[in-house]
Amino acid sequence: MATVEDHDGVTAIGERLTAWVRDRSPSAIGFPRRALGLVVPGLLVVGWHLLITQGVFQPHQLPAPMTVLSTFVAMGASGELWGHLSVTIQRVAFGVLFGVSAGIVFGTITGLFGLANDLLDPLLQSMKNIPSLAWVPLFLLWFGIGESAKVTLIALGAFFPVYLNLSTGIQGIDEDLLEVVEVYDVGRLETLRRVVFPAALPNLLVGIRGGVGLAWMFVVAAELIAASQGLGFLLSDGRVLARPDIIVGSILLFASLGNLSDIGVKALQRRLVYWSA
Amino acid sequence: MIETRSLTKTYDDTVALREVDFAADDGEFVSVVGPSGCGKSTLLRVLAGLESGFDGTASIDGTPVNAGGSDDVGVVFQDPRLLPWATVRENVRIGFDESVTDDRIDDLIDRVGLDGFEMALPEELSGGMAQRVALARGLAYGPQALLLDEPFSALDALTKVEQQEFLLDVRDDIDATVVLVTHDVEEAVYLADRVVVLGGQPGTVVADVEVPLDRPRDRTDERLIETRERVTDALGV
Ligand SMILES: Nc1ncnc2c1ncn2[C@@H]1O[C@H](COP(=O)(O)OP(=O)(O)OP(=O)(O)O)[C@@H](O)[C@H]1O
Ligand SMILES: [Mg+2]
Repeated sequence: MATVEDHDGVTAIGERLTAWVRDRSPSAIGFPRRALGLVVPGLLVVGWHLLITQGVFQPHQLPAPMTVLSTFVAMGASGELWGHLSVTIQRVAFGVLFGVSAGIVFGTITGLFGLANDLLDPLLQSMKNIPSLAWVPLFLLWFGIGESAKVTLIALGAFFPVYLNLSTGIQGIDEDLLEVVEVYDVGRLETLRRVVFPAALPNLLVGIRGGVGLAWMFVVAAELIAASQGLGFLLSDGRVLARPDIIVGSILLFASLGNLSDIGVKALQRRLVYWSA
Repeated sequence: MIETRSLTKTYDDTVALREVDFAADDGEFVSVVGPSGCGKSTLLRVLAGLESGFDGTASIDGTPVNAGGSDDVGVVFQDPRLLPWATVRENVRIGFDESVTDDRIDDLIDRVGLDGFEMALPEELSGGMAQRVALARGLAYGPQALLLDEPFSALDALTKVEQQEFLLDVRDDIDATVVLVTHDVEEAVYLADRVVVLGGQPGTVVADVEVPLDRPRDRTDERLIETRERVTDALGV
């Protein structure tokens, strides 16, 4: 008897669990779910504030939230901040542009041609494991401390996820659909346009999302070491000047920029991949 | 003329077809029936030029199909195989030449009973609707040979009858040779000039039954029912 009951009990819990996992509807409170994402960060800021006012952290180690805010408002008012911001955004934008373009070119070629894949993929697969910082000295040597070194580094970061995802996406295309175009004698270019590229588009966008994310990591690497402007420079400048408010503020700005760009790419993804899921 | 001579097709260690001699004359309508797994789809895939390695010969109008298949063959696969990102209209367009007008495509969509769904995506279609899009795509071509793999299997009785009549109309228009694979003996006999019964595993031809009736046919004709019985006997049901 007992075992039967136990078994039923387990099933009931299992059912409740699956229902709970599937429930993706806005929570019952009637709160928009996006706003819920701000609750925990908000609480953290309050906690942060309390930790400072209670003297747990010294202001020279961790500044109060309001200090960070006022520093950056002042920097915004003087125009200094916008210079740093726009330089960083520009670097990321160009880096992403070049990196994604190169990723599309190499991903397409290796995806379509087995020979190209056999020649290039092992090399690229091992290059992707080189840490971003390891490139910095080499690029400085090659390109000097100008913009090109930084943009190249960021492009390199954005390149790999795009390349990897697109290449595997094209190689993994559904054989059944290829048989359809074979049977209906759809030309090669038409097959690419109508079947291969749309089929690989979801992978491409996953790659771009990853690439944009990595671009933000690589811009920090570039700017920390060799820059006289930009958010990463501000970050290291904050350390030199012993200004924790500038450091923390820059980190928070990086976080929001990374987030914004990710939201943007996600929106693009939903738009372009309009079919299924 | 569609023809195979001692066609044997082996997948790894399964023999799907053994020594199959199959033929369909120009303009002939041949149904192929047989139990699940006896190699019906395999036969169509060989004829469509989608299988590279097999023993024996397979040819369409005297041209061996090995080299990518004939350009003049229309295929409707057992599963719809629609492009998920393309609308119904764009999916059907695949079966046409590039230059075809929307009107002609929409006509065909109308003929398979999907008027109003031109802009729908495959995910919005039921199984039977998707199957009819695939049928429209296969017939769009106006090919000399039509290879159809259970094109009506997901349809309700009434829609099935409609689509069968539509197939007969199209066949008359383009005067194509048709090979239709089906599980439905009634359908096989009603539509075809001849029913080939495959059996066993590996599949072999176990019977070849003529349907001695001109068209249009009456579905309740005595001779159809008789023929049906002969096919059913051959199937060993
Ligand atoms: N790609 C494949 N790889 C390995 N075995 C296969 C493959 N395709 C078919 N077979 C085998 O070949 C045999 C015939 O398959 P086929 O699909 O032709 O059967 P069928 O008569 O169309 O069956 P159904 O009526 O269920 O569609 C089966 O035993 C199947 O397992
Ligand atoms: Mg089959």
